[in-house]
Amino acid sequence: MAAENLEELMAAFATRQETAARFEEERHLSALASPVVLRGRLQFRAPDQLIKVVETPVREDYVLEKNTLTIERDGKLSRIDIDTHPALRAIAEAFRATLSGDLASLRRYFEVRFSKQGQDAWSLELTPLDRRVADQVERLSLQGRGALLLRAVTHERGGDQSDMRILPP
Amino acid sequence: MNLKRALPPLVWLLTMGFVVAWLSTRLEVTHDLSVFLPAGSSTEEQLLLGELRAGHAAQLILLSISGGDAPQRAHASKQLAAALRGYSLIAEVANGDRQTGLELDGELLAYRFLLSPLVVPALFEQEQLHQALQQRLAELSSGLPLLDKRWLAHDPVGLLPSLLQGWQGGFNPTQEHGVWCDPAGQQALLMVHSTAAGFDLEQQQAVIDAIQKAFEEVKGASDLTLRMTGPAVFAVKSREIISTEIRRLSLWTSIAVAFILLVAYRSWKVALLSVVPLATALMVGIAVTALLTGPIHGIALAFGMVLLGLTVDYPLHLFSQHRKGSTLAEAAHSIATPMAISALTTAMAFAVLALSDFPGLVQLGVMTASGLLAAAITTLWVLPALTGTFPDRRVVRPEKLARALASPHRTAVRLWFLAGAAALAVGYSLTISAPWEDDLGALSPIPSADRLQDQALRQALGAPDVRHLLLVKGQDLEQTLQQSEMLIPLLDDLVREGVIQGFDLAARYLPSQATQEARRKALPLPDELYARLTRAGEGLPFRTGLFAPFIADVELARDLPLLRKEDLSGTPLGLRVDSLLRQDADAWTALVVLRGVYSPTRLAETLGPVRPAYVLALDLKQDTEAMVARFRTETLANSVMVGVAILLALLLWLRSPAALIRAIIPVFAAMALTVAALLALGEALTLFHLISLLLVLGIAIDYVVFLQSHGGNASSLAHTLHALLACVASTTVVFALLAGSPIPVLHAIGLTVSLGVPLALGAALLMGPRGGH
Repeated sequence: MAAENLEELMAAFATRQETAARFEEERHLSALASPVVLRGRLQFRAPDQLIKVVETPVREDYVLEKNTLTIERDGKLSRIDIDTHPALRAIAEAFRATLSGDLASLRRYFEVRFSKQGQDAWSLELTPLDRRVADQVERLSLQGRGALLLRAVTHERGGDQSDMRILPP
Repeated sequence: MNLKRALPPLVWLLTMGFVVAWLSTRLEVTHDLSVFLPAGSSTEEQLLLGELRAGHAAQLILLSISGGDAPQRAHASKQLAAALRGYSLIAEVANGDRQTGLELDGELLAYRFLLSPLVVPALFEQEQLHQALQQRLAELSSGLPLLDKRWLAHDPVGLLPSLLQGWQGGFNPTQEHGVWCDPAGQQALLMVHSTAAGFDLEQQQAVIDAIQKAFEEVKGASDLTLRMTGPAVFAVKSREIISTEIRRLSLWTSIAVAFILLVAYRSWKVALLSVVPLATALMVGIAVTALLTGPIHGIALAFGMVLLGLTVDYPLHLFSQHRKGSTLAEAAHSIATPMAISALTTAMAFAVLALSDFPGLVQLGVMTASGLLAAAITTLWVLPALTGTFPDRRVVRPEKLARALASPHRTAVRLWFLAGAAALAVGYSLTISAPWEDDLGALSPIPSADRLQDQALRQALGAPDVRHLLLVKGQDLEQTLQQSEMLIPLLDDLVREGVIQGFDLAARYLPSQATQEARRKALPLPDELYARLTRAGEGLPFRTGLFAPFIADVELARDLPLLRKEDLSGTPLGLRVDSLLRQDADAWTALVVLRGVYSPTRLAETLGPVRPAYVLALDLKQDTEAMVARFRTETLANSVMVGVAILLALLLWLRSPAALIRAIIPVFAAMALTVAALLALGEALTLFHLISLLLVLGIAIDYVVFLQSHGGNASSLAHTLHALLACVASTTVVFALLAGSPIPVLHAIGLTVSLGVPLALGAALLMGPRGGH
């Protein structure tokens, strides 16, 4: 089934209860002469659980539930309230709201632009609404096919960029 | 009307007119709670009192917002904080929406090299720099994108984040939706640090009102509720509770006394006349106190009024001695001596208070003693002149009881019986290990549920402990800061061992000049730093030249003048430093505020042996208790002295040691029985029971004296007895009403007196030395 517009795309995501995938994230940073590459697993469970497990270069577990992000690193647990970091919150919502098909939430944080990319491919351009977020994140661009998210690119203010490719498990 | 009769009312009217006029323009009532703290003699006591009065902890108000849902509460918390941050009496509002509120920005930013404890020569060695760069790389390649890369080029060694984290004391309350909340996530929490002095209730009230008003605006139509706790809130609330309670009680006691007077004398005129000495006592008492001790404390005023209610007794004695066909002046003449004796002895009993260390209790003593004397004079001199014809309508006198008591035999038996009972009471009291309650907290009218909530909030917020405190004394600021710095490693150990949760002190924000100087010396030259950084970065992907801003900052810091206290003034950092330092005439004191004292005993044990002489460890609760206990002992000693004076006065009047002994046995029996009764009821005795016992002492002497002088035969005994029964009834009812009050202090006074008064009459009646004087 091919999504013709944003509402249809969101409706398609809303039917999926659980998604699991692998990712490969390439960060191009002005501070570094060569990009940083992270690999690991992603998991989403509706409505609000998002898990990111980094396997390389260093093992790290991130579990986001509601507003609480639990981080496990070197066997140590720490917990942060993502509301204290507006940009982090917005980025988390870009993934979580899209994967759960929650258009209202997505629109609370971003101006959303949908475009069809032939057959059943699509792309979403997300521009942050909050000025504090926009100071750090210029925009996010999500691409996918059907009810699958395949690529997420974060364009930071100042030119740094993170390109995450999402692969089948 | 002849001149002789007109004189007393004229003098009285003039005096009262003058007093009222003076009071109406000059009377100042303060609510400075510190007058109820003793003056303090040792240095440690003075520091303790300074802390209790001005108090860092006393300036902290903890807020919780409940109701609604979590986003609503978080929104309200942010708005409330924003509204309060502009208020002049508020130094700091913390609710978690920014890290500490303490920022190093603008010109202060360059000072990170002088402020951070990380700055030692080794920090700039190649090996450490390499580790720092690896750390930064790890952050850049962590699963959470590092979005704020402003400081990377300026601060690769991470001075800024470690500094800010240190300022937070490593403590992070639970957060939800960007603000602090309780662990259960049901309330949003805020901390307000006011600049109002802890004891200044007017200012504290202003701060509390401002918070309440700001909340009402934030709240709008939602069902959110705000609760405030903290020493300042409790002090203001106590004042409120006490004043409404006193108002309520004075209404009920007035009604009760009026009713008893009407039943006893069946005349409105008598009831009204009885009020004249009381009113005089209040006016004169207040005026004398204001004249001698300056502004009167509201609480002393309220308690003084309660104690002066006793003066209603005086006109009752007068009226009861009035005989058909004689004038009131003759009755006054016949009771002049016993009334003078009893007013004097009672006034002396209260003089014990005037000898105390507590300015508030001195006021109470002066007010009651002078009021009592004024009431006695008014009764003897003014009342007879005010009314010529005196109604004597069908007053029922206890003739039968009088006849039974007047029988001359068995006096000795009764005396011994009474002495035996008193001895038993004393014996009983001694078997109970002196249950003195010296905890001022137990006397607080604040319900214990509120105090528990305060503790819970304090824990959730990691707010400073209100009990434990360290003070560092120095001759000047530099010495004080240096000595504070020496404590830091010790305190860090305590945190690591879990004895305390955290601590805060001024040297953390403003290091001593010596320490700053040492850190400045540790900064390398630019070329040297460049070379080491280049070598440290080998094998790491950082772009060449990335850290040029860092090298420039270090070069700048090498020429930076040292940071002084004045440079911080007007900034949040400056406010924090000011709140942790006190400057006296010739010394400086730095406060070391402790948070979450898990184990007070281990704290004392650890600090005990290693604590240098310039550090004082205060336990506010334990130390105030010790102070109150010392005051109590002093009061007891003063009581003995005043007791001797009372005995001498009685001896002068009785002129026979044997008669004196017979007169005082019932007085001491009444006191012993009252104490035994209080103990049997399970009361923990406080300072205020002790003060009330003084009142019982005065009353018991009254009764003995009146029976002694007017109990000679059945007829005059019936008159005296009538007066005494009316006195006992009114006093007992008034104080029984106080005993029912939820305010511990009023309860203590009420219970003691309402038990003591009937016991005093019983003892006086059983004793029997009467008549014939």
